[in-house]
Amino acid sequence: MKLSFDWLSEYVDLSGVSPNQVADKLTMGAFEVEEVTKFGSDINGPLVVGEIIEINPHPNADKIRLTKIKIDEKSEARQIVCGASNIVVGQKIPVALPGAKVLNRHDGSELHIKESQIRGVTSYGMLCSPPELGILDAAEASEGILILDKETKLGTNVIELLGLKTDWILHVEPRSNRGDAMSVIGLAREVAALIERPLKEPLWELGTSNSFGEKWQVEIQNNDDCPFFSLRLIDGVKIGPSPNEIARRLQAVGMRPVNNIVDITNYVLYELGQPMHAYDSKVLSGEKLTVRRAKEKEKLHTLDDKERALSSEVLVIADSKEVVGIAGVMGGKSSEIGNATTSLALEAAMFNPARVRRSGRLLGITSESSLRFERGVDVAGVEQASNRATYLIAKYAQGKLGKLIISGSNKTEKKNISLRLSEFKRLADINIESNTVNKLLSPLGFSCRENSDKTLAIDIPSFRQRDVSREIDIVEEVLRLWGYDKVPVSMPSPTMAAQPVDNLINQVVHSLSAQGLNETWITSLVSFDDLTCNNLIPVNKQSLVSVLNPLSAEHQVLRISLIPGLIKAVVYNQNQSQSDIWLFEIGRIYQAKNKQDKNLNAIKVKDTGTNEDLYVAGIISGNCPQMNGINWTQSDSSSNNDSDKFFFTKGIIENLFSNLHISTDSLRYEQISENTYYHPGKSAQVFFLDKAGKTKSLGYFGEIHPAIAQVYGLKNAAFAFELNLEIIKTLRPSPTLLEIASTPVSVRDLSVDVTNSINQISVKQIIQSSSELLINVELVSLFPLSDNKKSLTYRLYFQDKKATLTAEQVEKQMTKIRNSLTSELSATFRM
Amino acid sequence: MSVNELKEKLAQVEQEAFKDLESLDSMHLLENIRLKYLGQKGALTEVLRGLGQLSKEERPLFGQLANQIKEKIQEALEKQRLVLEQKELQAKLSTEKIDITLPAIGNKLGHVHPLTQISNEIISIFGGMGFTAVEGPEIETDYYNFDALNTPADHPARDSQDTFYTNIGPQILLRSHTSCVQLRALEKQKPPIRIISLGRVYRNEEVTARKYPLFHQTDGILIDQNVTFGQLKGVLNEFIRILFGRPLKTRFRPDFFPFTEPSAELDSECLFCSGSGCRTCGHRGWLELLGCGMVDPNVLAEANIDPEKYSGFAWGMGVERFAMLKYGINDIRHLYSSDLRFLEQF
Repeated sequence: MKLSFDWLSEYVDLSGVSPNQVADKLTMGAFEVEEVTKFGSDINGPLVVGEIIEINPHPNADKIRLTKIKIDEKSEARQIVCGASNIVVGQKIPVALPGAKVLNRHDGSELHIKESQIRGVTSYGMLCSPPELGILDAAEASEGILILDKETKLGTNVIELLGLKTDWILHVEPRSNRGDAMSVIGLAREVAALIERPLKEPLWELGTSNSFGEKWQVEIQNNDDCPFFSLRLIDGVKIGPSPNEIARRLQAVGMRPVNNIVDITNYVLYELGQPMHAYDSKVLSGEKLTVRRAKEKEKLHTLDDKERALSSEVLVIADSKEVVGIAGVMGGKSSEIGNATTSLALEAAMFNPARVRRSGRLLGITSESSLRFERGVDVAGVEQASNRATYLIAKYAQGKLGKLIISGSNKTEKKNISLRLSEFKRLADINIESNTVNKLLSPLGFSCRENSDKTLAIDIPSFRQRDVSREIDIVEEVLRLWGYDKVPVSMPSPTMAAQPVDNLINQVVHSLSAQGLNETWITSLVSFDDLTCNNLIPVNKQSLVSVLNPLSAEHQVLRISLIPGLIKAVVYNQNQSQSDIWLFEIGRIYQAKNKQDKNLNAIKVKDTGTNEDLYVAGIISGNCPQMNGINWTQSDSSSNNDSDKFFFTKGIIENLFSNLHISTDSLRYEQISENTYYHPGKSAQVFFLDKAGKTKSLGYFGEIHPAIAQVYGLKNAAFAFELNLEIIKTLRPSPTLLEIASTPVSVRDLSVDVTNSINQISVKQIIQSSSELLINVELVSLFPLSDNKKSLTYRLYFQDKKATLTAEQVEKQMTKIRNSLTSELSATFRM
Repeated sequence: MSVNELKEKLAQVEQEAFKDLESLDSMHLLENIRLKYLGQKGALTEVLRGLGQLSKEERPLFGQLANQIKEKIQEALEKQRLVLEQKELQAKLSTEKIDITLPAIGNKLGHVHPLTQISNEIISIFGGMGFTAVEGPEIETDYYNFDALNTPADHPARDSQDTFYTNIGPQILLRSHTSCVQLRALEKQKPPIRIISLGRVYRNEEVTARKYPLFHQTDGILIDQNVTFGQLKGVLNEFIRILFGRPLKTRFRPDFFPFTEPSAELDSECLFCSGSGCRTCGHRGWLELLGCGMVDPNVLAEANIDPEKYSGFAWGMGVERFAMLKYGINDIRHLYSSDLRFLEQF
């Protein structure tokens, strides 16, 4: 909320206190001031009230005239050239004399007034229009000179008369629990307490009311929605622009002046925090207003010129025919105050905060009024605020007061809270005495007295009963005024040790970054197009978690895979002329549980009905290192090293598992086709084989499907992997040392020729299972042969952990292995 | 031959051997010299052959003498060998020189994302103060995200956290803060409790340099007997000091959060201008770092913890904000750009 320093000073004596000092005090007193800005321009005198004595034509020009202006009774009238057409003899007008500084009416720049020759005639000053005085009043759209009241005394300082002095605006962050402080008086109360000066309230007196409008009635259908409603009938109003002091203050706090009545309701809203609405009472049907829920299909054309469809969730004000306003949110266009309005019905009420909030949210309206009602308006202050507005309307719009018609109750219960002073010791380790509590709280309207049991009984003022209802609220109130900074700093007792935390994520981060992949963090809220890779990935819509109120299509549904985000990341970097793009991400994927799992009948307060699983995924685009002497490039038709990249990606995965102490011997790979992110011939599903022989799927890897690559514009084949960390988390044994045998290792190479259709792993497994003395088997080369055959060369490492192997023993093992390979795979051998 | 003649011969052999060694300048000739004098057909051996002509009395004396000379020559040979080895090594070293400024070879190392780095740092600082990290779901119920945290439906405090609601059900949303994780933990644990949670949260906001519809928060809570506001100040001041590597001036400014009472906003002196005012701090000299406060008794009661017996404090902060402040990142979008030019700087 914007707080005018000038307006504030009407409520608290601010002499000797600067706007920035007030801002600092408020900031440290729970009302953060985001900035302090200047309002108004530096207009300087001499700027006085003058009277037009004569108007004569200019001898050398048609459009400008010569005036004689008197600025006091003694001195002679002075000649001033004027181009405005709205002046007549006898008017009182603002006159800028030589030396004055006003504004250029076209661009607002500074305009220094001096004696000057205008087409051969001397002009001793300037008659001023509103823009030249910095008055930006929409109601004064005409280009003419500002005409002042006839009764204004000659020579009066115009800057003081019109309140043109510079004001400072404090931008106060509104507090969601302090509706009472969304007003000048509410913040004044805080400032008064913080700078320890008394709160002063302006004096005014409401005239006596007439008896017209007695037949009018107001009805509240449900007191929960509206505890109190008042309506004041006012007749004979003259609609016109607001007096300058009101218009200017509204402008200062960012509201556009409309007309005197609307401006006065806004003025009181700002001043006292009580929203109000004025209806043109002649437009209302039947002399009765009802506060009720809207009926289905009812509509209202609101003040902002929009047609609003209403529902029973929306609280409205209705006359005997139709809805005329949305309670606490916005009025209707038809009963708006216009230039022809002569009688009004002024509504001031208290509406249920939650109800106003719901109405406003349903209709998508936030107004100055709804902001305050949502945070709570003091029911005990409604009538006072209505009277204040009525007083101003009588004063500035010649309104005659009718009766105040009310419904509901504006009585508030007396609430008091008992405060144990020991709580200050318990919660802040400080001693605060009862007189301190009293001194701090009484400027805010609380009153304290000591109970017999050494507690304090604290009466809560009506305007604070919403946010102060418990002992702890009082503790906070006292502490903030006493000063958080004075609370002594200490440390909690060091009695607890942190529990061990699973370090899986960091292990994965370190393994993959050490292998050259850069870690990235990618949005988990994606577009439908990215989720499905533009419809290339079939999805089960039932299992998706999407948001109902997205701000953009880009952030609409929770991802079901990390792969699309990584593909987009590669494309992004590719477009920045990067060539080697190796990335990985650790993140969650999301899905709704099966319908069968969901108990749809019971509203789950604590169960979300969704799964979130942690995955790690990576992508390799660009070059991968050439491995000397090892090249599994089979009969790949393409000339690039795409197959290398497949095995390089496989190596990354195996290194990762190795770092997690999951033996690569326990991994199994299966060719897959159902995972549509990958090229069906160059991808695999990874399984973990446990000791009981059961397999668990860990994830997938392979070349990104060429169709997807094309859709996203990947320049080169990219290889990706995605692994389920939730499962991996359960597999990690802690490493245990195997004895390091000191006996020598015998190494033999074995070249095996088999038909192409036999997978390498089958050959290797037969070798491994044929000898107990083998400690390692490595494939060292692969050659295609003619006749649809290939040659695989393995290096075999034999060791007997107890004794040195003889050449004969090793040869015996080799024979066993060859025999198995021959019988099981019809393998042949060469030396 | 007489003893004297033999002695003379020995002296001659010795003299010649030393002369040869002195003029020797190459390692591979060293062995030739050894053979020439000490080998089976060497000069010394030749002299010793004359031993048989000597008398029984003369033999040992002469033998002794011959051995002494043999040892002398051997010593000299060894010495010369070392000298020559040094010489050859020096010669080799002086010719072998590479351009050490040629580029390094090997796999490029990957980089760890700044959010991972700052998260680890935050968790380890609080870990050192006895706080254990816990996790919770990002898809949450209205109950944990709001109701149990003292923010009932239609409370305007919900406005400050524009929340994404989901198709799963009217009460299922994407959590707008990580405080819900604490609450889930409080249901399972009994005081004393010291936990910290760090994770992804979502807010329905337009993407700007400072805002992103998802970001990360970290929350902590401590519940025990005799927990005070001063301890909250102490713990958070320590955290700021360790994270930024120096003690910073801080202030605890009263604020309102539904789940803490009293509540405060923690400001630190601006890291960039030390409080004199700059663009980063909006010329205020202070940076808003985090929200904190004493756990509201309603929240304790909701978790079945007696607020009369126990008290606690809690805080919550944006992980991105700390990463941006610490690493001088001026646009939150960099963090989610996957841009290698960004990632490789960390």
